[in-house]
Amino acid sequence: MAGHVLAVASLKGGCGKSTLAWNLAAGLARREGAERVGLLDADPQGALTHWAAWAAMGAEGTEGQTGTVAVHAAGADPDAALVRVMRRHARVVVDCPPSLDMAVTRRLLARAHAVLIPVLPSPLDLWACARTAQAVAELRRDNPGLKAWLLVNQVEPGSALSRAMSRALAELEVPALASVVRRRAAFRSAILEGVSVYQLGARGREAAREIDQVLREVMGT
Amino acid sequence: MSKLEDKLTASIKPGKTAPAPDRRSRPATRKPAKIPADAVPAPSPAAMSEPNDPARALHPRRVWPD
Repeated sequence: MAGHVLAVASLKGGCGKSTLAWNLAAGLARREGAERVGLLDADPQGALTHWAAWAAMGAEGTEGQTGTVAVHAAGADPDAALVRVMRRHARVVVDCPPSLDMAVTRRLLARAHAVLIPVLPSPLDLWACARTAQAVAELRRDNPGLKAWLLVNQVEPGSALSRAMSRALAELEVPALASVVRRRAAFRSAILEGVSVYQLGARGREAAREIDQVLREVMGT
Repeated sequence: MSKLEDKLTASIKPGKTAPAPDRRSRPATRKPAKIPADAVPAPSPAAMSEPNDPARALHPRRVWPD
């Protein structure tokens, strides 16, 4: 039976897409068991594959294993790679290429069950997010079962711009999650330490709580 | 709603949500009302008399020097 696919996609780079994908996969692994969750690195930048190699140096498990979630490099044919990963895992998180103009992303989203579109609280990111939301809305004609949400990432509670985002996002064609993810050092520290925020102990507690909230909304549980 | 929210929302689709220009600086563009031709009464002959017509009655408040 093919696995459930949660894609993380954005037209614009630098919105925390890969970091979110990794921590969402780690959160799913905690809920359902590590062997049930796979992470597909379909971003040509290969950030997660690089990170997995880095993590494997200090983590138990075979190469490509991060100690919790298996990271699969998409290679030259991301679509075929997704099909393979879907056969191996009940849950698959996909770090999509940072462009919806690419045919690759369209094919990946055609197989996805849900997609999260991270957006930073800044005008440039909002505009890019608007284009992404429009492209996803068009893709849903071919994949009507695709659920899509915007996720405000790297929120700074003291910033007026962060607070003003919710109303602006309400104008877009894709709904925004009620959950947001704050800008936290824990997300960056976890990458460097080769772990997820769940494994940072007290340092990652609030970040892990936010990822759990996102998963509850997305998975409906 | 704050001005920042308004500005951020308007920035998504600048062409669609641009603020309206100041009405005071715009020329009047309202078309004059159309009145049916038969709604305008024909001018009376008295009203069309010559300005120096001796038969025309003087203005009642006009005062002539002796």
